[in-house]
Amino acid sequence: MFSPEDLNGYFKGLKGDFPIFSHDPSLVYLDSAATTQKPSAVLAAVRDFYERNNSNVHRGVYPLAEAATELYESSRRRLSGFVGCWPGELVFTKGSTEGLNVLASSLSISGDYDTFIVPVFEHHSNFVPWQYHARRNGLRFIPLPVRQNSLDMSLVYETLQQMDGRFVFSLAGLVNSTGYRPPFEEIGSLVHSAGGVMVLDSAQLIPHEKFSFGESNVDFLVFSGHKMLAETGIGCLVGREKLLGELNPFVFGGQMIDMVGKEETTFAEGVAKFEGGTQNISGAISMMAAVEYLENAGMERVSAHVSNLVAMAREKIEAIGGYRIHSPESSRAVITFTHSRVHSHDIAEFLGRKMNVALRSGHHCSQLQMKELGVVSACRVSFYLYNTFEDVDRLADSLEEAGRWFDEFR
Amino acid sequence: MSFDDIYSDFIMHHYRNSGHRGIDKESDLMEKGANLSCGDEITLFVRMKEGKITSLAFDGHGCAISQASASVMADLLEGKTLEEARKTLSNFSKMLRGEIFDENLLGDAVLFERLREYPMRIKCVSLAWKTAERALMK
Repeated sequence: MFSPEDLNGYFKGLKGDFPIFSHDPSLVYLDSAATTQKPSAVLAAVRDFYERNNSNVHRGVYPLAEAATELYESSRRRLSGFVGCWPGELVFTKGSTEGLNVLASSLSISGDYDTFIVPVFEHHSNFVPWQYHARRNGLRFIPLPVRQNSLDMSLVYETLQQMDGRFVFSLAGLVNSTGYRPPFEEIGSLVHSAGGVMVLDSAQLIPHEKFSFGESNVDFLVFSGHKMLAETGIGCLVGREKLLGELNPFVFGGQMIDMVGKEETTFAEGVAKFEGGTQNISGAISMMAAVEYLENAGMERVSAHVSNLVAMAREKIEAIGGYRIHSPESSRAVITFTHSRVHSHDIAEFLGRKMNVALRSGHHCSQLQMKELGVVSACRVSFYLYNTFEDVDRLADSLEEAGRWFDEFR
Repeated sequence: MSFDDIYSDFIMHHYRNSGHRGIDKESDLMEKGANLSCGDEITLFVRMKEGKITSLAFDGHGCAISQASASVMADLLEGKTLEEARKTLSNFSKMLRGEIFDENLLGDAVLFERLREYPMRIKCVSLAWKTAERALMK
């Protein structure tokens, strides 16, 4: 394995692949949990598609249409390889939010389930759809209490013991607001033992960790392209073939049908059933280029480097007076913190405008998690492969200066 | 816009030394407001005498901009009749929406106009004003 310094040197070398940093060399970008920057390889793949292969997919029989279809389908195959599923299990979506909406809507009207369980620390996109569709269709909704930033495993165990097999448990693989990585492998086993269905919101997990759907205890997986170097407006919903087959379509229109009659319509088999309307073809291609980039960089190296950055940042933030960290000790890719006297927006404005350090402030689409932490808003830094030790130093210096600047005004 | 434009001495002065901060148990009107998107909360306490606002205090928590904005508003509304206060509040709204407004009614509060370009911060600026609108429109 490489030393932290070796990895830092290696990723510093890759920073040049991201044009935004040549346009703005002093930028320290620490909001990758919201969206990542894009490498030239991804931008070139998109441009190349539009310049050489642009056509709609699955429709025309001319060579250009065939080339576009082949690119779209090879993106599906490439992504399937990346997350360890079969191409027949991977549906292209607009992103994780759409994937979760498809699941919550379709599972709630299937008649096969009577309960949805979701921890309260989830991103609103993995909470509100389940809550809404459960309420609307007469299912029980269990907002599972958490212990500050983590799951209370005895409560998980207790809750699952009372289930009769007709339930869905939806959980983040990595919690966006704190970087907590729940023991989803263990929970998946518990859910399956209790006869339930396990959904993993992997919007934050897949960019940071090698994952194999085939070897996991997960029944449905969602993730987004833009959080892993690809374009916005593209993502994946992965599901066990049998379960996908049982799901209702969500968007009706072209391409997702089998036979259209005046009174009734039958739907396409397999993933096509979920891809109604012209899809985000360049988005899919951008995802293919993104996973190629990530695999070349080495997912294990990405994970190790990001862990090093988080550990270093944690130590440095703790050393500055006035800040309190709300992420668990073992948080991945993310550190969330507050200043005891200065509002998170004020800190973020200071860092953004004075120091060119971009970090997030607010509730991070997780109002219930913020409540659980006893804060109304917090600062969040999130790292990715283009960040370096130098970025962490700039962050720490800027936080110290921000605290001092606002304190002087008291 | 630079940091120093937003966090000007004027804003930081009001943030730091607002004379209106505190809970007024003798107030005639009390109104709570919240900005859910960043968790800011404010409670306004208004004293009225013979149709005039004689005192306006606020309590709560929020960023420097929301606190300074509350303080500037309190300065401006004290001494005004209900009718004048309503006019002032609606002019402030117009200013933030980019409509034609009467700047003579807004005093120092016109300095918040520059924040109109920052959709993320409009809610911080307007929290106290929206809360006052609800209190005084009743």
